Amino acid sequence: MKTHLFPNFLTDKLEYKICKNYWETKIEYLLQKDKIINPVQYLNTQYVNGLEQLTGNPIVNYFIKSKNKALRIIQTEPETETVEFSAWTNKFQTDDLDTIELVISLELTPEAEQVTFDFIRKWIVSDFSASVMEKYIDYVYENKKSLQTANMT
Amino acid sequence: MLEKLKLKIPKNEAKIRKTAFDKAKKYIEQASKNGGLNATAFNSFNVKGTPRERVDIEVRTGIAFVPDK
Repeated sequence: MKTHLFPNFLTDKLEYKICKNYWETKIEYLLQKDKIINPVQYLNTQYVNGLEQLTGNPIVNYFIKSKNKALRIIQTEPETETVEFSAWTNKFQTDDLDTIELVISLELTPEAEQVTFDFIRKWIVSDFSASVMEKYIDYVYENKKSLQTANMT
Repeated sequence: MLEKLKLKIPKNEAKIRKTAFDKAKKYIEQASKNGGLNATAFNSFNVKGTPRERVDIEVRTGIAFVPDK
């Protein structure tokens, strides 16, 4: 059985806030450590009436100007007993921004979090191209079964 | 809108994405209840257990899902 972190984040507002802060702290620390500065939010996460969405879709999003790359993390409700994640790259074009985003969708377990941060490092710090990133994602996904049983504490 | 999209893709593809379409529909209804959604908003609803199958919502300009008056 997999342990989900912040399992009630979609029904408990305080837990959602703590969960979001957890992501922000870890990602911003990772970026800062590698001297990647000024990550900014590039997506609107509020409804028109000003309420925050609190859907986890996305839980965090960053555009990193120095790399011209973006990162969107989607945290979904705990539904499975396996290590659940998927990831892809996506061309992001609006009037204001032309970039490529790495999108990672996951149920937050320690194992899926480890995969997520590995993907973030490869995408932002190691600066993988989109095509190399896609191949790497495929490789990790194909070997997903090994994550189910591995001790990844 | 989602129903129209479902009809445009092959039946088996729509079937695989059933839960993702359901979640996207719920999301749109929630957005509508709250006045809609301003650009730029990207949301993805993946099919769990699959590497990339999903339904994407992309609001690139303007306001989407504004409730009927």
